[in-house]
Amino acid sequence: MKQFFDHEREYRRLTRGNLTRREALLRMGAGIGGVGLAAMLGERVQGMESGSPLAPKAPHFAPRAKRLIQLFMPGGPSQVDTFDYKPMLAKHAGERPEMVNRRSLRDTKMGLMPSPFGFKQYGASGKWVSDIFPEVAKCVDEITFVHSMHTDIPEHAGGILMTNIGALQPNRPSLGAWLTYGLGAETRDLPGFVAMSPRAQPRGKLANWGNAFLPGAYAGTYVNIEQMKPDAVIRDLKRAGLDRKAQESQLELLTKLNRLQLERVERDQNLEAAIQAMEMAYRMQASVPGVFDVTRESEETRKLYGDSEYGKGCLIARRLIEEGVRVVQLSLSIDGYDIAWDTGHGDIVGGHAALAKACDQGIAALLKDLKARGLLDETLVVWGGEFGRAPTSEGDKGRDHDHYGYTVWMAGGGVKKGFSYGATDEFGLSAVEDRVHVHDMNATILHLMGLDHEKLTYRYSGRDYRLTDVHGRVVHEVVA
Amino acid sequence: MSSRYDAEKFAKDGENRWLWRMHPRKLEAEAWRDALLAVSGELDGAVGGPPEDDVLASRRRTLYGRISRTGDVFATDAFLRLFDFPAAVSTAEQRVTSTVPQQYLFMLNSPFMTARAAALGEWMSKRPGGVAEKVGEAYWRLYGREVSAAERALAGEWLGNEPGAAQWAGYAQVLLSAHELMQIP
Repeated sequence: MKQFFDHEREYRRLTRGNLTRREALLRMGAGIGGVGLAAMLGERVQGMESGSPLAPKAPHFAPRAKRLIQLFMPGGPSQVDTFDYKPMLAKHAGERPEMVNRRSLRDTKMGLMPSPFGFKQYGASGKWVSDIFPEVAKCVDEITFVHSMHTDIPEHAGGILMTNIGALQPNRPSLGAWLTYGLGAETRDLPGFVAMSPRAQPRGKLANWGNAFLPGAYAGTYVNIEQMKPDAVIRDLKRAGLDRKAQESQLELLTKLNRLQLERVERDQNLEAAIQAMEMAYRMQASVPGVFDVTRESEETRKLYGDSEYGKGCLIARRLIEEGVRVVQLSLSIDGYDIAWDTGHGDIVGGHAALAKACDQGIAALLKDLKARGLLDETLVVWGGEFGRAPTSEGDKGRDHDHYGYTVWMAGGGVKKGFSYGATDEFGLSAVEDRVHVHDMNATILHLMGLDHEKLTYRYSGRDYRLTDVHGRVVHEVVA
Repeated sequence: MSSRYDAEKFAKDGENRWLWRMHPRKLEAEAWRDALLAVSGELDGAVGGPPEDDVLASRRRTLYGRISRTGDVFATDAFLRLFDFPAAVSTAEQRVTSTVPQQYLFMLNSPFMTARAAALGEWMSKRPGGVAEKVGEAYWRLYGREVSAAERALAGEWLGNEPGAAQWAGYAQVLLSAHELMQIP
């Protein structure tokens, strides 16, 4: 009972809790409103961050990673066509052994389908990787592959929520929101948590980066990177016909009025969040175009990441974490489809090859670039979808969902290099060895970031909530 | 029950565990947009008729915005989503309340807000009396209360003695963006 309040108490201490009324007023009035404004107008004020819910907070223990980049692959990429090499599929093509006779989303009756893609061995670890990921393949010696992932249901909406918020139902805080709540951010000019995708938002949209019942400051900020115009990545980023000085004076007045109101209503969390959000909006107008402007990178770096939208997203992700953003969630989409990898139902060859091509170079570039800049050691990169796809076929060329076993890989911040953990059965359907549930993965991500998933709680609606609910085992075996 | 602050009760129960006041809440997106149009004198209160694909280009009540059941298709969807209106793709038993910088970018920079601000600013400039009287009327119109001495002083300082249209509009935008308009008392 003692520890579980730690973070909540910290938040309450800053915003309402154990302060006298006078202290609280001072802290809120001066700490958030007034001093915040002074700082955003260019005046440095010592200690202003202490009043902000996004101020950096001490983790529970020494972290292995300070930042997270989540490369989210909505729709369910097939493990046996990407990173979980199963040569037995070719030997038993067309058969339906009892061990793969498990119902997924649909009750398909077809036999085993070998991967249409070739596999080769890479790196010192000799990892087998599919030909559709030739660039990521060159990075296998940086990666820990977790082949024994499993989740609760083989359906996208629920599976995606489980991955990103740790529950099948919405209205739970997202992983990124929990991390920002637990750790704060190391930037005052950008949100602590940025979610991005080219074209479609992943299914569930806001829920994937939402704060739910956590304070509003921990919500992810969504940016659509399709157009890649730094001034237009966020709606209404620029005001036409009003210079910056005029807007500053307007904002100063607004902040003063909001502060007077804050004193009148006393300790309204919404209003505190509003003042913060307003100030951040102002700063974002100056900082966002810069950080999203990839033309500020060298020709060489841009070439490394390639021309794909996702590749540019990877480059922006690196720029964001360099600026102190805590969590970046970059979801793949190549058209308007919100579960991109689900094209695997009808056609693994076309669907998966095109999707892998859209992200392979960018992801590999991100790993190489982070390493070259000395950032990989403290940046955790996690790649994966909400489930995988069955080794049996659905129709002639596709595969149905598979929540019994799939692959997620991790690189950087505190994970082993050139390592594979857990295994599916010989055909790749079910996780059988060292099984890792989504809750276990989330517990492990929090652990690497220096947070104990059992202590990171928030009291809401009469009970203490956690990202991992009442589950979760830290997979210490993947920690370097 | 009002969410109004009471110093004596607050001293006894600052967390509001014993529910001496309503927890402070925010207006929903629809009501807030309607309120912006209402206080600027621009709301078209007509009943019935076809829905509007883009409520930001309309002066009708937000109720008449067209929303999509297959994702954010219409401009109305994007606006509503920004202010926490749940997507109509699945059931939502309750609205979540988010407070994010993009909402303030909307208030600071969007053509919708600047148009409302211009209208309210013009209305204020035409009211009888000096700056103080006009500001006092605006406070009743927007927040249903008397302007405080501190607020009147801030307004006077910001607007000066003979504000032009741009200053009135700028001031009006601040009043429209203030948390108090979005707050349920």
